[in-house]
Amino acid sequence: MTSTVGGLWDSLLAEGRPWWITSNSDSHKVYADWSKNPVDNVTSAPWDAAGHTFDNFGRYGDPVYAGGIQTGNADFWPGYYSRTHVGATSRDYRAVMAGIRAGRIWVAHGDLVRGLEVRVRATGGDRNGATLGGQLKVHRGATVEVSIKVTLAGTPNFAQFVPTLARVDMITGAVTGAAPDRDTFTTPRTKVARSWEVNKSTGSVLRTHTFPNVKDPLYLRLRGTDGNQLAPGILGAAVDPSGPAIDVVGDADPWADLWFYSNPIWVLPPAGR
Amino acid sequence: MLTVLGVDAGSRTAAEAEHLLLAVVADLGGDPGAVLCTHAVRQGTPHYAGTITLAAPVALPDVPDAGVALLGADPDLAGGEALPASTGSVPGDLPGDLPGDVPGDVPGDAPVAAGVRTGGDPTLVRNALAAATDRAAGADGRAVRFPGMELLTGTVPVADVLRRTAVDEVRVLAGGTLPPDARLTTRDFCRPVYQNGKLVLLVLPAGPGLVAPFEVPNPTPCCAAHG
Repeated sequence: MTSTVGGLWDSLLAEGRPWWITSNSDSHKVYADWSKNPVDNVTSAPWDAAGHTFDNFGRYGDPVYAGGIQTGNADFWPGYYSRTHVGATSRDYRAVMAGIRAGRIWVAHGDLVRGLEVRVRATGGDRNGATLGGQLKVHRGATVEVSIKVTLAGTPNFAQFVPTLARVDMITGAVTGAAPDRDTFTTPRTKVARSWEVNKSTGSVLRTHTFPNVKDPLYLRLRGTDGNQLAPGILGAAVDPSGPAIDVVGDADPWADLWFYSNPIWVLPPAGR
Repeated sequence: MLTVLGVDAGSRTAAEAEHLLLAVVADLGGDPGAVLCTHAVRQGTPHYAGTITLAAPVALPDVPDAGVALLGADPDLAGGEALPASTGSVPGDLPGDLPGDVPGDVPGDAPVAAGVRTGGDPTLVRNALAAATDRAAGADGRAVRFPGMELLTGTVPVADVLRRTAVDEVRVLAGGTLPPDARLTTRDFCRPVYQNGKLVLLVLPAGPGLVAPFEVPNPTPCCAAHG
């Protein structure tokens, strides 16, 4: 859904629907943990002397010592591989939740990059403009500039290497309104509009893009890759010349195929006459 | 002429539907040439129905707690309730748009004979009939038993899959292409699906020159078994 350019997510964005992406760790049984579920996930098994079970109490008891290191587990701790970055205005839970609701979110695998700042401004307009999840209302015919700052990874990730960002892509699409068929899985006017090679491994990367004479509503979103596993997108090279390649069964190292994705920003001139 | 039997016993999983189909086909005499398919039912509580495609006519079987529908029913063999070829009068709350007479050709096989009989739970009958109609049209069905399936063990050339089994196409997911002289790592578990009249096996890249079925034999149930 997220990785297909012009797919289901883009079709929602092209309708103007604020549908945010997040990244879930799905952390259940963590690799190399020393503890385990007290009743090995048997929902009907009592985990204390009072007879509490998952079925009758709604949760399991606290973890217990597993007897040794659990190398048969497959999960990572939350944030150790996939991570959701939220732009919060202060250091508290409410601000984080407000940031999530506003879509000020980008996600990455394996700490591919350390920071991402995106701002869209109209020439002569509000200097603050709009950031991820936002909408920039502009005059018809406005010149709109996108400023992107990527702070590259400077410290090792959980796999003990410093990831290298190879490329940043900007994906743009036309906002075309409600889809007549609600089962629509594609949208025809979304594609990778611009790509920037990074060619450096420390510090930060600044890039800008200008949309001249914006007459129709559009949205943009960003993604970046380590450049390791690339293939034309499912909707063709004209839409996505070099997107994420599908995994090879039995040979898919998650640390050798890292991407980041941002949520969208809309640029909205008034409807034409 | 073929007959297509649809069965819906409300199976919660595809594997449960597969076991039901194997039991029903054994009761019907165990035709080794029978094609067994599971069908996702999306109306109401999502679950799985099944179809059995047979070369010889059978009487409509009685499957406990299920709805059954037979396309190509032999008028001399009893069982259930006959639907008139012109439809209209239907048992329970079946929809009006039922197959009129001959539902069509089973792709790669003979046409289905005229005649429709239904029986059992009136709600499930509707799903059983829809599954049988989809199967007869080649529009749907995940094949559990099909001609040549016994050859799909270990690693086999894709060319042999196409030549020696009922599979019409081996298709790489996400627009990928088959490598030249591709070989299929079957994991001894292939579940091709009927799409637009063709039996298609969906595969993924699995290393140099290799592809593997997209569907794995032992999928991890989502959040159920690793809680």
